[in-house]
Amino acid sequence: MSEVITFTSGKGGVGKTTTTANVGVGLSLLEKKVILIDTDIGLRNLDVVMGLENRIVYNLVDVLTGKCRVKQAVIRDRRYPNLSVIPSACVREHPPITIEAMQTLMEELKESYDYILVDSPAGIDSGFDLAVCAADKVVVVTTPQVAAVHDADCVLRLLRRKKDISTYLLINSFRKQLVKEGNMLQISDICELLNTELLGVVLEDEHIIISQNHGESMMGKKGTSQTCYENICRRLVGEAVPIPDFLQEKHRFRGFFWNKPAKQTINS
Amino acid sequence: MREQSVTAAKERLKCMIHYENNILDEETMGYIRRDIGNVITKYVDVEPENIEIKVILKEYKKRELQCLNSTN
Repeated sequence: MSEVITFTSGKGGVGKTTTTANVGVGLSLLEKKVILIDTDIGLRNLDVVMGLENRIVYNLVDVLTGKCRVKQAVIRDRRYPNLSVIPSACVREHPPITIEAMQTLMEELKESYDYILVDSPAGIDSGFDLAVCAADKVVVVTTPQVAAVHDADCVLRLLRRKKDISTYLLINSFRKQLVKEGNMLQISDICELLNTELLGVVLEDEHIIISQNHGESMMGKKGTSQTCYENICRRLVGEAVPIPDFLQEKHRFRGFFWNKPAKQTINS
Repeated sequence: MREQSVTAAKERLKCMIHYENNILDEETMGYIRRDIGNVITKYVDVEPENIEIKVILKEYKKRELQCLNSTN
């Protein structure tokens, strides 16, 4: 059963593209056939983050406007045999692309791939509509900062109106020290405010910047975020991986399961 | 001692999220105004455009005061 999963956020800069890239690589390493789609038309960055910027011939706009066949725009990542990418375009004007064309593309891709991960642009306008139009699951990425949480709530409210979409929350850039000092929202605070099932938490990790400088993912590398992404991938394929209580000093986790409502299990 | 900043963040977000999840959107307000206007014109000889309708959610009003008092 193929799945279209869109990563969106409302607020820009919270880590949608980084998440899409790393989860994509992670799923491909679990022997799933994965394709990533960059729907940020105008400011393409998925290919940049993945070090594929020199391999672009055709892009998503070319596919959706019928300028090329789908296969011509697909870039196969040579480092990861199960992973492909369709990059976006760097255009200023609004190209004449339709929701219908996007839905048709997603249906076609479902025949060849297990997971289609869509990297949404920031905001809640037409770019967002395009990114979620064919989604089975939408993951709302937020950080523990007030503006990001507020924007995530706006996005979640819009998504609640759509039928047949399961929504999940992903908390990015979690900083244990700030939380311990009482200067950053805790996981339970965010879950309570946004009242959405939690997919995972990614720790703040400067190694992400370093790996992106090289155009590489975090998977298989040193860094606190690596395990977080791995766990997220495992949860997406159906494994029950508890979310660790990061504030515990030792590695004895008083964890809780991600697929129960946060309100009931946070303090269990 | 200054309260931990996370407490302020939580309170402010609670207020913002509660407010935005409870205000009526323009479309629904339009329908409400139209329906109330129709009822009024049945009993009172007045043009619908001369009727001003405000809808106040009592529960929200109480909450709004709580939020205004807790954050300065």
